[in-house]
Amino acid sequence: MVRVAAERLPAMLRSGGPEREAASEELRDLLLRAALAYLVRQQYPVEAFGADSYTSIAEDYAQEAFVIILRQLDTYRGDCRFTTWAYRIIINLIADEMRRRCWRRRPLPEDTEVYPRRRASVAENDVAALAERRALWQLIDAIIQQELTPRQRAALVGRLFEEKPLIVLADELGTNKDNVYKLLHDARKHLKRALQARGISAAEALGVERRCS
Amino acid sequence: MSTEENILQGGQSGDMDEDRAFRRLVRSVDLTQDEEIDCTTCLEQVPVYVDRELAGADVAKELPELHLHLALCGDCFEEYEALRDLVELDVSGDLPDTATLLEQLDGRNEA
Repeated sequence: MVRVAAERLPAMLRSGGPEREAASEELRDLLLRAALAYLVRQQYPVEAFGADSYTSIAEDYAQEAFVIILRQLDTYRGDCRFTTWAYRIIINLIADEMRRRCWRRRPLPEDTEVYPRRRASVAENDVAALAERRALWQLIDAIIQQELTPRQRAALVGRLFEEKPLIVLADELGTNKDNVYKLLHDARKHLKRALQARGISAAEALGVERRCS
Repeated sequence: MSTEENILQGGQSGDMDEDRAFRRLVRSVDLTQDEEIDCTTCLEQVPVYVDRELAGADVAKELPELHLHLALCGDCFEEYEALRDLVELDVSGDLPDTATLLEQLDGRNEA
């Protein structure tokens, strides 16, 4: 295959005839390699995709990304390499699908507590620091329970305590990732202001945390 | 703040406990700004961020809103890191061909 310089790809894809064909062939090859390189990096087992081989997985994602890229070609502004722009699209396609699938395949926890138990990582003789931290934690917990909306609370607890991917939370809350991020942002803003209203800055809270680390 | 340190990363999977959750929460509250960009905006701009970063630019100063989002959003940070590593390989001419990548994947699957 005759290689096409990456910076020529957008113009060639917009043209017709043999130039467009050559550019399409080059882009498909780049996307296929990008998909495979991402799979190598992430170490997703082939079974997680419900597929027989990595080849078929990579080819499917490369084709899907190729269609999206052609559809969105006019939004490429030329402020980055064309290949960087294209690779972002295929990585995002695979990443969100894998987060969904891997979350479904995860081992179930042994208990179902909302907040996991604290381990004994604080020196037992550091009683004052421990008490200060416990008081702060109780305050934050009360704000989360009493002042956040149910959806803000679900997003915050799901993300920070249960480590759910945004796409999984979006599915559960019947919305999209941007709206989940907005819920998290609003929850953080509320916590920041609520702490400030009680005379505690986040920096001071971090100081308490550091004394207990 | 460094994008090498996303607050949702850095712990062992399955090692979740109140200590770590508490630390994450307090750090994320500390970083919180009144206005923040969403994930779609972040991912649209992240190719520019990656290319500028690999060119040696001070991306924290050039793209501060994106830099902040990457510190606060573990999922976007993960995709940013993967993109940066892929582009680095590509630009240096070290992105393996299809056959080599498949050998790596199949070898790992059989191991």
